[in-house]
Amino acid sequence: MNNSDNALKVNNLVIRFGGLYAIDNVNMHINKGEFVGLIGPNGAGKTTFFNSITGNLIPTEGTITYQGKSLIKKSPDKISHMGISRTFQNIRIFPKMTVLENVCLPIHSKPTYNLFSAMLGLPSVKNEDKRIQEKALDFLNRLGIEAYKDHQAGALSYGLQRRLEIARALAADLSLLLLDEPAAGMNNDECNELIELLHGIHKDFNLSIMLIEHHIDVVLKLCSRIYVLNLGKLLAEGAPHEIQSNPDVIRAYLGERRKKQ
Amino acid sequence: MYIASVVVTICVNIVAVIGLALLTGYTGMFSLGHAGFMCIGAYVAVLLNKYFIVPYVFALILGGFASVLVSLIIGYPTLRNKLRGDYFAICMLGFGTVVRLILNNMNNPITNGALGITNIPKLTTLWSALLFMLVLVYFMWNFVNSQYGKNCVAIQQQEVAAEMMGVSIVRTKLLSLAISAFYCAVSGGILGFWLQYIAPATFSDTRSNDFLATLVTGGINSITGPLLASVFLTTMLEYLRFFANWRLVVYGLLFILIMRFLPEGIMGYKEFSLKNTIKFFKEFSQNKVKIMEKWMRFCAKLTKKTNNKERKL
Amino acid sequence: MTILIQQLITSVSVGGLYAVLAVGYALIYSVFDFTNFAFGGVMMVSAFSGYYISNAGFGTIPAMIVAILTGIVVSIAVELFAYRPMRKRNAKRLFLMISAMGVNIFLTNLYLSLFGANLRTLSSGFISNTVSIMNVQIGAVDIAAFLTSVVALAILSFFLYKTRPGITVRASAIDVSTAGLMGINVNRVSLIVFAISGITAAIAGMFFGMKYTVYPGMGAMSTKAFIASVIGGLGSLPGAVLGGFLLGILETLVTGYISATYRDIFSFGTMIIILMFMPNGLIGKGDQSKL
Repeated sequence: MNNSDNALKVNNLVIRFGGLYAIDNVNMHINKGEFVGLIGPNGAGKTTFFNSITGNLIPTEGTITYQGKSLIKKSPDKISHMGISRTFQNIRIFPKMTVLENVCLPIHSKPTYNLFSAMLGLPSVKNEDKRIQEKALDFLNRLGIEAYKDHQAGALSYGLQRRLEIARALAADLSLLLLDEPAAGMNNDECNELIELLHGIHKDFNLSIMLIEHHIDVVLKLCSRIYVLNLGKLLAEGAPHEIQSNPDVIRAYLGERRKKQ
Repeated sequence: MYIASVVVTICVNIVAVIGLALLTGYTGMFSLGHAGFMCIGAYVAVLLNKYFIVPYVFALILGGFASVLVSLIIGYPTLRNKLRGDYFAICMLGFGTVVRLILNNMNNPITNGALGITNIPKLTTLWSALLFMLVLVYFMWNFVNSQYGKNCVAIQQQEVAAEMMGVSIVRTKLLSLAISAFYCAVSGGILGFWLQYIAPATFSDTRSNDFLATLVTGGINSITGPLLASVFLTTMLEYLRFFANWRLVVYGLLFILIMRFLPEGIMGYKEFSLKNTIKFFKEFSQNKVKIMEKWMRFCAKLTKKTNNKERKL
Repeated sequence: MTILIQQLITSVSVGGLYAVLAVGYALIYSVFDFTNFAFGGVMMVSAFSGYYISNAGFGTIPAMIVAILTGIVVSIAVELFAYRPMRKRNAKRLFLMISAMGVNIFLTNLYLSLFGANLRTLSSGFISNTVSIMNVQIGAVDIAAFLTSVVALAILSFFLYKTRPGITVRASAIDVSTAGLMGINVNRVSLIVFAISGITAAIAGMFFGMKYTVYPGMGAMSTKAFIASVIGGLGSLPGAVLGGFLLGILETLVTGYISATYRDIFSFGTMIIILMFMPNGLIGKGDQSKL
């Protein structure tokens, strides 16, 4: 296993809040182009794990590197520019901006023209904004929500907002996508749609993806490798069929029959 | 001559409020000390002109830069490390007072302490004030509709997501602060060269409160809203002297009520345009009945709320 | 030597008042996560009530009691009318701050318009004498202020750490929504917290009124409370106490050895410097974003 294959490498990660170990000595890696799943019961530390990758949380110990560069203590916007993008468990779209504006934002989060041109309202500025809007429209098309491009994002239905989140995450110039429970609240049909969508995105955009999900079938169908987290510790790692039959995993999710004393 | 005075005052207020609109209305940062930037801008501009024969426009711009520098120095410690907005608000509150305090106690023949500077040449004319106002509003309009403006708005609506999408929070907030300081400084300079007299008391807390009131009534995320509110409130102030004395009491109440019932202001997230006005009147006439019902339900809700309170206590 | 002792007494007496004020502010901040800008207004209104009672000849203790009652009533009224309805609709913090500022502007200017800007002397009644300790003249007001602050802080500390209502307040200070989910009546907690805040504002207002003067603009003193809390660490009650005392000592030293006029400039400057090097204040805890 040579280093250039490893996109994301997490070593001996420890995140401690006072006496509570949210993440306890976790090692994970994602190879370039892999679709990896992260599952575990509620409170296992999955979102905390994402937060430490994206720079919203500073780990107590351990290292996180992406393409060889350390992510620790970098601000989230810098990490974003390194090619890592994410969706959130509770949807965090910009409610009062239009759908199109939401998706444009990652493209121009680092402004592509200077301040003075902006204030003077030069034609080059208007053209650049149009170019970005067209690029954003592509992502909207991809996610099937281009009909809503001028709607206020906050007024959209829950399902559409979820799609908007994904479209927005894609619009950033990314190579690693972190999805935090994208199927939350979806029924079976919607889940299948999502599986197809994510499968397509994975192939077409050539991304490495890490997926946190509670809908096990989504994880089993999409991911080539799965990590299981429980109470901050890595419980298991392996291919979908290995995880499915792992007794520790089953115990963690379903609990144990209490032995009669 | 009197009308010219009112128009110039309106222009000065518009420029300052538009600057504050960027900071508070678009970026969501609360500041009550921007009269301090006005003060710095006015003093620097006036002194440069008086003692270094710097021409009018350059004096105003240099006054602006001086304010920008100060804003960055005191703003940076409170904006980095993702400190809560309260730090910034408290800092700005203190800033306004401290600027006045420092100037009040600099008793030298140049700045004259609390007595201020007199005999300032009347370099502001009605037309130059209007021109400045139009140009600066035009720049701000372009700014908020550009990528920079959208980044500011993103911070106000979802700071965490904005950062994760690549917006540098500290840099964007500092930019907002710097531009708002620049605008207030220039407006202070224009005022100084019109009144021909400036003193620390010219830039009191009352001014900051006036600006905030204009912003709150006009609406957040809007340029024309605060602009129209500024015209309206300044004119009211000039023509209703009684209003002048009690206006702050009214403003205080206004803040509470607007924040409670219509926090986004009268024109929040909307801009004034012919299309919008026509749409507004069309909707209004079509929905007269619905609007009346809504209003009656609202009044009923108000009285019901008071009853609820009594029961709970 | 005499001067030093006098300085010492003045600094801890002023510091004590700042500490009490800062705690009143910090309590609301730690539970509700916003700055109650109306704090100064409440302080001023309480002081005015005390002034009128005292002026009517009723003596200092009744004046103090009336002031405290006014503080409680006004503080709670502000919470019920301005803040709680907004919290129910999950209003943004910016809007809460504007509303709070609105209350402050309203109260300050109402009193200004109704009663005029004159400075009023609040008679300190039976504590106007100077006491002689070790041949040093010390104002009894200063001693009373210091003792009252210490007693108030002690009572508050006992209340928060040793009584059941106090525990509900502390739980809410950590996380209001969780406290609510755990069965704590957050509405009742808010009344308690705002009442305490009103009491601290009234105490400080009365003593500042006696030491200096009573006038509609005296609410500006609350900015010192904010600064003291920032220095000690926003959201931390011990920090507020520490910050208050430090600010009192700093101001007295500056007034004594440099000049009275630079006092506020130094306080402000100290806050900026502390924020540069210790962004969470002296005791404050870091704020990890809750995602």
